[in-house]
Amino acid sequence: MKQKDENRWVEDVLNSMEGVEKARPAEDLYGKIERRIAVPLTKGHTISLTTFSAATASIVLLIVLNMMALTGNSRKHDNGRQDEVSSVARYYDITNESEGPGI
Amino acid sequence: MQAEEILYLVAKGDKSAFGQLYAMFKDKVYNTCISYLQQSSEAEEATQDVFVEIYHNAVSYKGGASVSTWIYRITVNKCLDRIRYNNRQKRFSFITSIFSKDTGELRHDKPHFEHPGVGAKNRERAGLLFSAIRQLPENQQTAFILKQVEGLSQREIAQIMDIGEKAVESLLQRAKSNLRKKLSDYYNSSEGL
Repeated sequence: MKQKDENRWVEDVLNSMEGVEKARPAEDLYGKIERRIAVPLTKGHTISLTTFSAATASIVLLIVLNMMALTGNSRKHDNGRQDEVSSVARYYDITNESEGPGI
Repeated sequence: MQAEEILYLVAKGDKSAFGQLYAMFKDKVYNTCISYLQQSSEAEEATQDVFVEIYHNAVSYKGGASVSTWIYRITVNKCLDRIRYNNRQKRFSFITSIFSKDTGELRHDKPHFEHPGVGAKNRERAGLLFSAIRQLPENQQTAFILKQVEGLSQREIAQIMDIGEKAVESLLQRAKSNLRKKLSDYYNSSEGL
C-alpha cells in the first residue's frame, strides 16, 4: 500500500508539467534586445591604430631612454675610475715620467 | 511568410523582419530558458543573448534543419553555457565561503523555483520536479525539458541535439529513471520528518 502511494506520488510529480501554459517574457524584453543589437558587435578587445602606434612609440622610447641611461652611467663610472687611478698615481708620484728603470 | 523567408530578411539587416521572428519564437525561447535556468531574470538575459545571436548570425543559417531547430539549438547552448558559468561561480563561492567570516551559506544557491505557467494545484509538485531536473546530467536535462516542458517530438529533439532518435529515447528513459529515484528518496525522507 505504502509502495503504491509512493509510486503514484512520483508519477504525479513527473507529470506535473503536462498541459502547463508557456511562460511569457516581459513586454519590454524586445526593447532591451533592440538596444543590444544597436551596439556594433566587437569580437574580442579591439584598439585603434592610433592608440596602438602611440603605445608602441612609448615602449620604444622607454627602451631607448633606459639604454641611454645605462650606457651613460657605465661611461661615467669608467671616467670616475680613471680619475681615481690618476689621483692615486699623483699621490704616490708614480706618473710615467717619474718611472725609473729600477722599479 | 515562412520562418525561413523571415530569417533571410533578418540576414539582410531587416529590423521589422527581426521583430516578426521575435514574435514567432519569443515564448518558445523564454519558456525553454526558464525551464533550464529556473529564474526569470536569468531566463530574460539568456533570451536576450539568443536573439542577439540570431540577429548577428542569421547569415550563417544554411537551411538543412528548420529555423525552429536552429533557434532551439542556440537556446539550449546559451542556457547550458549559463548553467556552467553559474556552477563555476558556485564552486568559487564555496571556496571563498570557507575563508569568509560569514555564515558559510552558498550565496549562489537558487531559491525554490515556481514556473509561471503552472497552476496553483500543481505548483508544489512542479517545484519539486524542477529541483530534481536541476540535478540531472546536461544531456538528460535537455531531452527531458524539450520533451516534457516544450512538448517536442523525439524527432525534433534528435535534430536539436544532433543525435539519433534511439539515443533520445534512451536519454529520456534514463532521465525518468533518475528522476523517479530522486523523487522516491525525497518522498521517503520527507515522510520521516
